[in-house]
Amino acid sequence: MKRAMTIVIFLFALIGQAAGLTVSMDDAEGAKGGTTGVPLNISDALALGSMDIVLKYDPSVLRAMTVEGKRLGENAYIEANGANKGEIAIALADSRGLNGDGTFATVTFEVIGGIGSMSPLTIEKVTAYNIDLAQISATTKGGTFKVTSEAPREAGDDTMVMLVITAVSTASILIRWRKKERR
Amino acid sequence: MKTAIFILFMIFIISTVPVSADLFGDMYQKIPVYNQNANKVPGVINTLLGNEEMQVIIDLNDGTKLEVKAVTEDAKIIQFMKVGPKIPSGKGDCNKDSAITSLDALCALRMSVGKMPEDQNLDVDNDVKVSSSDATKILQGAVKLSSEVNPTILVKTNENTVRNIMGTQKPVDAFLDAMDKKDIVIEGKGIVKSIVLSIGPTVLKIARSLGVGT
Repeated sequence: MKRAMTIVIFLFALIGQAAGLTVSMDDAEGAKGGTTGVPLNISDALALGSMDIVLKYDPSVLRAMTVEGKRLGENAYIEANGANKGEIAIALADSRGLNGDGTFATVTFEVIGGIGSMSPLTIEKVTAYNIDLAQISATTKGGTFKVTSEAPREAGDDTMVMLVITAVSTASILIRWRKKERR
Repeated sequence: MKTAIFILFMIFIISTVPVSADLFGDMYQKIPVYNQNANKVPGVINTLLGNEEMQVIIDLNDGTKLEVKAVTEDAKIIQFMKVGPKIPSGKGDCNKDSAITSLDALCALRMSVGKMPEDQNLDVDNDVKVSSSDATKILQGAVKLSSEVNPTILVKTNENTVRNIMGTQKPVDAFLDAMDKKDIVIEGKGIVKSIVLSIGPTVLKIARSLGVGT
């Protein structure tokens, strides 16, 4: 009986290994004019040491802003480049390795498309290595982003109005100063 | 004059940012809010701000530097990105596959903690040791962050100063104080430079004497 149990556990472990690393993004939605964080997830990660990802989206609907390490990737070194419209390159390294399932980063997008428009969230390329520098095969699963209603007015807008007032005051001071100088 | 407008412009961005671990992310996340309100900026600012390319160098508390390039057009920020490292040809490539990838950064990280023998080829910042700073630079190289920047305005400051401005209720005051203490140094490039050097301090004094930001 004990032997049979060991075999079953071993088989489960093997199946788990065969599944390999999966990098995914879930379906998401956000309000027009707002910003939305979309989680980047991994599953079945085993001592994941480094990863290069290329993510594609529709630049008429979304504008990539930042990528931040979250939960599993909180201690990882992460850099991203969204200079090319519709594409964001992400690189991650962690010498201790990422393990298990969950969110490792959040990509923040500005929602610029019209209400009802959609954008694919495609993970086009993943290259991953474990902490012993051996390559890991990875599968990907993308999602879809849907633009919902108009974003509500942010509380920060009031701060902006205050700052604009400061700008107007200072501009008028400078103009007055210039006039004084002319005299 | 242009410098003063620039100062205001920077305050707009910095002062509306909540404090968190990622300074760049905090600054970046407020740009859409600023741009959405850029039409409320007075015409005089729109006219004078014109097209600028700013390079902001921030000394971070962990000893590294954050370099940011910001490009403006009609008072709107059209580009705001980290400036990438200049990795010398042939350096930074741990597994000799002729490409800079996250794997090379992982090598540098492992070397920095003694899990791999040190290879000076991964010392991309030329400080004679392989550290996490090299790993960061290699990661920036892996995502191909551009190192090209031709600033019309150069701003040098440090993390504490930026965070202080972000956290205060009087960002203009904090900004002017920092300029007074040389915690923020602004240099113009080319023609702008002479304008900055001649009128910058005067503008600052006038602004203070008239109680701007108090």
